[in-house]
Amino acid sequence: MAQVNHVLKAPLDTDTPTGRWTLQGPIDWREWDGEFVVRHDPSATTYLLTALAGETLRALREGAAHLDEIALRVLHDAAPRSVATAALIASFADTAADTKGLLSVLHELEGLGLVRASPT
Amino acid sequence: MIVAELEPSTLNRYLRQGGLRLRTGPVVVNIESTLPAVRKGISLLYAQHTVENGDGFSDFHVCVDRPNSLRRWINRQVVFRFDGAEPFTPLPGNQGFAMLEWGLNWCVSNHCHQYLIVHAAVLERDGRALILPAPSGSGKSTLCAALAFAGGWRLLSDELALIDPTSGHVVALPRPVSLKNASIDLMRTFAPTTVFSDVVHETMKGEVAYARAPVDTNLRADEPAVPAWIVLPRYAQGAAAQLQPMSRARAFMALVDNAFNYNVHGRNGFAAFATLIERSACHQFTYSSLPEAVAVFDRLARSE
Repeated sequence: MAQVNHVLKAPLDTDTPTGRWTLQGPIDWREWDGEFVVRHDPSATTYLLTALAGETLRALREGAAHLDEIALRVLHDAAPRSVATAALIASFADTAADTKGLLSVLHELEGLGLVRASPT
Repeated sequence: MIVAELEPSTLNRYLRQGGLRLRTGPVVVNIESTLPAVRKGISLLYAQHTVENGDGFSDFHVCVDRPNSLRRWINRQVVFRFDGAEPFTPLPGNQGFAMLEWGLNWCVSNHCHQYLIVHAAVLERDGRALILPAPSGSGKSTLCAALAFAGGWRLLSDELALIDPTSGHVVALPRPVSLKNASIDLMRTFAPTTVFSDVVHETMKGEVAYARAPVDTNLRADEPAVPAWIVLPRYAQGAAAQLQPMSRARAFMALVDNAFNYNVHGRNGFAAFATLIERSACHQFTYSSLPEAVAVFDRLARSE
């Protein structure tokens, strides 16, 4: 729990882009012990994702769009879901590096065709 | 009536004139052939299978025979016909029965989309199914044969797991067990009372032989099983038998990788595999010794 508090107190990167991130079509997923399997319906492709990537998709599905919103959901809300998720996200979360790492994940997901970035 | 109850002349007539309507699990196949090797293989390895009467519906109409062209005389070959078409290139003339088996696998895996079909062996004990998904060459069929012939497990299939996407149950597809290369002599030693076919040499898979499925495979062919274990097997020379837990997400991906028609089922396929994973304990298994392997799976069945 201390790790979660640390994340809550972490300042968000001031260089956060103002662009919007959205899912590219419907997805189905399951999470087991901090790993996600995700099926992207438009491409009929199934992926095995880390907790961080999976939680990022979950945040988008729940309505987060801007990087700071996504970061808050991923680093705050997702951590208590399971011990494995909390540990993975806690190890990722390190103040200013948070959103940079998250942005990298979003770009990877964009490369897979799962998400799309658009200007505000 | 079962194949063993047919007079040889009757079996021969069926195969030559109109076809033998053979039931294997939920599938009825109409088989035609004039080849003695095919007749011998069916007589030996499908002895306990039901022969359907009359002119009822057959899921597949197949024929294994000589080509119609001049090649039948120049270079003895066999062809597989499915509804009159020839989906595969001809094979050498001594591979008629093997071609029937490979062709039937193709028929089921490409057409029985009422099921989710996984390249996996399936066995059952106490109503619970053990699913062994794996690509060719992993030792899946050898392990499956050992468990079926000497391990107290009922064989549902050594090759194709048919999963009902609604109930999640696994349906039996009783067929001969396919053995390749070193596995042939290994199983002859390990299960000497089993009925084996002759070895066919120099096939695209090396040496191939078939073993007749145990009697209860056919007697209980109508009994589905509830998935309980998903185990990814791997033969490794000299390795001690070792069963290790596997993450559900990775087991899920293994099912996807070994599935024939996962994409055909779309979102329902994803949901069905997810249910299957959630109902099952997931492991990976490395082995080299069949007695050790049988003991490990015996303990698994008793402990969970």
